[in-house]
Amino acid sequence: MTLSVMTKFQLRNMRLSLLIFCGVMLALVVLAAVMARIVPDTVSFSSMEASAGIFAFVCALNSFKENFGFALQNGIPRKRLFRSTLIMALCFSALLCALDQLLHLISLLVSQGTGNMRWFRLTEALYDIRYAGASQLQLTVESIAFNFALYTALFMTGYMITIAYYRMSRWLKLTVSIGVPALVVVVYPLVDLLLLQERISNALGWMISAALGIQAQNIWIAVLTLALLAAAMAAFSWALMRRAVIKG
Amino acid sequence: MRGIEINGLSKRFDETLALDKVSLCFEPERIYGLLGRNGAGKSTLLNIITNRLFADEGSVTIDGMPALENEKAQRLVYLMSERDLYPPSMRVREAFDWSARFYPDFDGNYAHRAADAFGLNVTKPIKGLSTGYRSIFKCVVALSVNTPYVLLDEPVLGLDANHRELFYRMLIEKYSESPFTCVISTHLIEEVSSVVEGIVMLKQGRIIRDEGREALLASGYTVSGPKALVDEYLAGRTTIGADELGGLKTAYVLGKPEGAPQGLEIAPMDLQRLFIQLTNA
Repeated sequence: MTLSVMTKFQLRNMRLSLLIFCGVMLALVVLAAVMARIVPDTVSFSSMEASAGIFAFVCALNSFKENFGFALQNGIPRKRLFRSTLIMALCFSALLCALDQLLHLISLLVSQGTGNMRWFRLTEALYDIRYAGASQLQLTVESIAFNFALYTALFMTGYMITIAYYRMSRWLKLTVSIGVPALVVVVYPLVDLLLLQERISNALGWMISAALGIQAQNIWIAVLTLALLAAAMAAFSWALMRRAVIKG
Repeated sequence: MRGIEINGLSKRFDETLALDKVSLCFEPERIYGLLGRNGAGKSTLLNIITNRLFADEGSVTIDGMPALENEKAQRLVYLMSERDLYPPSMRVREAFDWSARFYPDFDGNYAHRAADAFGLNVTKPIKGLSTGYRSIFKCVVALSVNTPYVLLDEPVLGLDANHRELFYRMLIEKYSESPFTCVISTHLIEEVSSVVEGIVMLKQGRIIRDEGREALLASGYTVSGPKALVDEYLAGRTTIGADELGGLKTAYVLGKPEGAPQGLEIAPMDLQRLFIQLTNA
């Protein structure tokens, strides 16, 4: 019973953010519909799932400290908090998938009315060959599976990062906050471009492409990779959370 | 019920030894005062009992169950701490509702009555409360959870005299209706001295006293008078402190008072004075 109470509490904290996000996405669809009526050309927008993925990541970054304190205040041990977080992450990802489908349905209805509005899914963009002749049902089912795995992986990654930050000392936080962006934005491009003739970028691109099944045009490779990523981030999160303490 | 048993607890924060092999037992259905100077280890001890911190050594059991990461054990205890762990945007009445979901014996009606008595606005978000009213909010929750063990860390922080009196009155009434173990960690020693039955004193992470209030108060006395007379009287006695002003001296002595010569005054030592002398010595 306390598992579901804690999960409900965590979802309650996401409620407002989720409503705002839904509102923004619906407003974008409405804007696209209005533009479709005004401009003579086809209005298309694609990969809105990326926004949902970023939203899931950012929500996760804000979902540890307050929930952790509240859990310990109410006698909830860390193990139970972690389990309820996993359930919450899955529910949250499912809600985002449902929102995707709703937005897609709305865009379909709108485009039937205007005739020149097109919504491209992220999966259609990544696996264009696979879905060239595929049925809507196959596209829908596989997109849902892909998105669910993507949102869960991004959520757990954000969650792991926020717990890691919570556990860090002040100096380590400073080092990571300055060092990592410097490494990614300054050091990496300089080294890769000037010294290695983009070998790292090419290798990374190839690895991501293979891991997401883009080369093989197999979405289920991506689903498996993202599921494994989510599991790995969950494991790291637990390793960090099990020794987390109330600070101050 | 077996109480909260603490065995050989040690905790270090970098170079500071906050707790040094502390062993004690908070027995069922007693009110304790947990006293100590700033940094003595009181909050650390309470936080370890309630699974918020990890001890380096030792163990804590609650009614025979290990307290560490044990939900069943943690269900039996509630800590009202200085630190605010409630979401700041949460309203007071929402906090009551959520507490009722986590603690099945939480008395929502009592919480609302207590909030009325203190003048606490339950529609306000917690972040909008003053320091005093935040303490009041946490006190109300602590008095309403009805767990067998309630730990209060500086419960009257920021409360005015009227609210402090009200709080102690409500605590005694609650205890009389349905006894529970209450541990009050506070610096306002004289205020709690009439409320508590047992006293635990910490000094630099170690227990220096763990006994009943009456026994503790009977363990010392003050002797005052002309300095020369007092010094003569003190020969062979354990003195834990002394104050001098002009030619007069007041000494704080451990043990039972024996017949004092004329010119000297013997008086019982109050708890605060005893605490100051023991923690200064």
